[in-house]
Amino acid sequence: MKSGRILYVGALVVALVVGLGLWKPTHVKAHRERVPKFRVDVSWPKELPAPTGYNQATWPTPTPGDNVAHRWVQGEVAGNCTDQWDNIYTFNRAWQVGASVNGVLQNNESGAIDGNDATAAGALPSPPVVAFAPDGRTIKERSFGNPTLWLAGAHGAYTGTSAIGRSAYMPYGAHGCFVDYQGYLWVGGNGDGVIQKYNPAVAGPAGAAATYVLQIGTKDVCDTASGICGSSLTGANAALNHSTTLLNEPPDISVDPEVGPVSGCTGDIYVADGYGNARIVVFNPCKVTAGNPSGYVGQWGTSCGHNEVPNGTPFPGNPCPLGTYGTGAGHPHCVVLGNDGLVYTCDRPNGRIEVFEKTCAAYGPQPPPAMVITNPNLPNSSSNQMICPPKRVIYITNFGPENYPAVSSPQVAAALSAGTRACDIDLYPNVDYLADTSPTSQRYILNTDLDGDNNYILEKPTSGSGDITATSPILGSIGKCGFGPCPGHNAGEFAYSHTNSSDSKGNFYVAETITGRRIQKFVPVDDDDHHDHDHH
Amino acid sequence: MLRTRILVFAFLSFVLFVGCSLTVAHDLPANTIMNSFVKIEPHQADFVARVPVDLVRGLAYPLKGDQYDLALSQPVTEQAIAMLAQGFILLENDVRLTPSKTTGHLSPAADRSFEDYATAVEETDKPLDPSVGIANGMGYLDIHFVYPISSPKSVFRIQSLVAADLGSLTKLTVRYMPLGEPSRAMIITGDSGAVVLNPAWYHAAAGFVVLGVEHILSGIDHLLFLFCLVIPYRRWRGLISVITAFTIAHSVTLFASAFNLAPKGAWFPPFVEMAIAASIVYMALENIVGADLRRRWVITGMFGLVHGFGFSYALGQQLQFAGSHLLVSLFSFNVGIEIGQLMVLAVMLPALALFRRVVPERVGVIILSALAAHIAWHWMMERWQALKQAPWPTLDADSIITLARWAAALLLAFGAARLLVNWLGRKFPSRVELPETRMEQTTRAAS
Repeated sequence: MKSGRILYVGALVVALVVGLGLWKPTHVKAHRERVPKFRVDVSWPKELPAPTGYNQATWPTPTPGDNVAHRWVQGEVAGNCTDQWDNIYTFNRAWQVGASVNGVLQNNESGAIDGNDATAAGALPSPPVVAFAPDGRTIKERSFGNPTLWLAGAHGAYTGTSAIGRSAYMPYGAHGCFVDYQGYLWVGGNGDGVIQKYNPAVAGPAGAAATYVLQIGTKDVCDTASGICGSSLTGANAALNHSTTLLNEPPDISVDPEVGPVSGCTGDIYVADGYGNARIVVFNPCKVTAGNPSGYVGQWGTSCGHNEVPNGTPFPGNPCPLGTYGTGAGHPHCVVLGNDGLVYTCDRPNGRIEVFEKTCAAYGPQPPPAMVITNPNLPNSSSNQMICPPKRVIYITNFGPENYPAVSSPQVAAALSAGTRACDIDLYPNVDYLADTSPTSQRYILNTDLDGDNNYILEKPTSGSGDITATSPILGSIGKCGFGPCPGHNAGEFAYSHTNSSDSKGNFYVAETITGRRIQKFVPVDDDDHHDHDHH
Repeated sequence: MLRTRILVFAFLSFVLFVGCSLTVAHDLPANTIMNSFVKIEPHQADFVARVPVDLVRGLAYPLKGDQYDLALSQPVTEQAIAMLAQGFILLENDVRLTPSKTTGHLSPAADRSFEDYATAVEETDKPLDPSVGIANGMGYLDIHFVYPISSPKSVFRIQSLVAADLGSLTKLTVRYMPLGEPSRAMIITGDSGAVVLNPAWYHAAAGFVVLGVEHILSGIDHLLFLFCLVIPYRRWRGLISVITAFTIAHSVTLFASAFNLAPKGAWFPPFVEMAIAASIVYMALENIVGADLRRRWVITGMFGLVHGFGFSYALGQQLQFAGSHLLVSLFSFNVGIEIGQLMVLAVMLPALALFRRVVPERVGVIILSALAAHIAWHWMMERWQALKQAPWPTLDADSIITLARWAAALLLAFGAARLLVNWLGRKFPSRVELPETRMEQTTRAAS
């Protein structure tokens, strides 16, 4: 009994001494830098709607007498974006179909359902734009896109190899989306020559047409020698990279709520015109005239004609000059406006983020330059007129040794050599639509790696001029596998993670395309609740 | 009384009339959060609010392309202001106030003037710049109502009937700024009713007593724990030490949580949930194996700490309505829990006595405890799965200090409970039934 009391008093004294701060365990780091941590929220999104009478061909008008619950199934979720109220939109390829499901053509870009599933379960592809409330419920009234149009034979001038099943109205090859400061939803496609602007607040009964506001570019006509969309650098279909009205497979869009330094107007539209062309091109409606019907402001960027690390092997002695983009799919693949007033662009084939001043828009219009630079060592040659010197170039190449000492791991090396690291970025924490007026810190870059099947947290370099190149250490990963690839279809794993966005609460959303076909939500779990930026 | 009835009737009428006219039975609007400030001045109350325009349905704003034609929008805005003056109700001492001045206009979706009161009032009172583009269905209605009041010391209540048909999905954030006191924030929903902005201590106390009773009566896991506690006992007296230990322990953690002393990691809530289920399993197994009941108060006290955290989660969202009476509200909530417990025990003990008449005592203890253990085991497994998903905290200086504080609190609570039990034992030596005796007797009888 006595020894019990001694033990009790001893334990109490130790607990009080430590607990009251009379002795601090100084050998552990008291002020460790807290990199954001996330956990996957498996409860988000909730099940998609299963409207009875749902028929793609007539949506949203129900089929009379049809009592089967047709659950919406998203296809390749190629894009995602966040609005002012933390609703999440996906732009998915559910409706781009060619095979037969319930008598409806689909192809391998269609919803993740086959004929038997669809027949037995009554599942049908969702509309191409699906809106989710912050709690994961689908907002049917803001989900839109008329799926009948893929069956239309009117494919315009498009003569590509897989015209079948493409929407005649929304962009082919559904890709990125963006919600601007006024609440408009922008979408772009990597199989077409258009970006489109919609008002999701008045979506619903009339389908896509009711929400359509404007389009830049011409359906099925691209900025190439032949007008055929594609990414050829030479030949009859060579990309031209200079049209003031046409685009060439643009994957991403951002809109600036501030006055642009070149346009002099609010609301510059930045387009990553980057699957066929290789430029950032800026438009503003305030510049629309009879001679400038798209409101072209300017452009910069061109292709360097190759990748620095094709197939994982560095291209010896032939780096892509700063300010150019690698060739291959997606160059540039994203455009994001930072609250530092800079324009962040993804040079996906080269695994780097190129950061520019907005004044780069003054580089165009110019006399049509060559699409591919021929001699980067001649600064004034006509071939590189379009190279605006970047303010900063961030190579995503290095895992911070503190976090991941085993850089030599084959898996990590493979992930690093894959040329799709800079697939999409989010400046975190962020309020996307406010861009450079965002009051949040944007201290980190959250980076989506397509082939590496993971999403990484980088520290955003903040140093000033002269810091042209920076290697941004990967501070943390978002997938549940830690650093290195995290492939899989379970929660917290990734298959073709493609785009990302965050909301005002610091939640991070990742859309998976091709075989992933879903969107996942990651919730910050940092003990310091620094991410809660409630705004309205 | 008559006045209250008239008010209730009026409220119900508004719910039906205004609620229906403000919204139609659509899907959930994209934004259901309204933002407001209530500032009390010596002779007036200022109410400034921002309402998502798609929450106020039925307004036919003129359009110019896809955007509102702001130059022609004022008549519809006036209509919206009139609707919102009906939809927001401010009461002074239960009398509805009428605004003496109303202003308002549309504002764009990206506007951030509602981040503080002064800017919100300044911008709302200014005429809208017609060159600002506001997309159809986007943006907000910003309003500023001025209500004459008789005294800043009155009791003020607020209620929102805007889109009240959406119930708890419609949220009004209220930042209440009383005269000469610190401001407070609260969130009320479409089904909150009239909420007191500056409750007197007895208002707060009454509300939290009810809340405590409701919580214990609706908390099935707490009830099952209580059930397992009392299964072996035949009389109240044997329960005194156990119930006292449970009460003290859960009060400690409940108060600690209210003062933000609980661990904050994402792992903690699922840990508490799982530990509550585990506490039921343990208690049921202890009943089955016929453990020494003299020491039951110790383990009950330990588990009481965990249940206190559980109670705190129920309290968390409600403390915003405590006004400046945090301690009173906490104490009242605790009292409510004790009242609820006594009510439950008043039913449980006679029911158990009846049960013992038809089933041999020891057999009955085993059957009931096995059933409880079965249910709780499933809860525990489910909650373990949730806990596994949660990231565990890293062992740094902060977490070691927090751990030490909790160890100290736990040891102190243990010591206090022991002293109390010893005191009770000395004070009522002949009355306190030694529970272990009964257990041993019943065990012998069964064997």
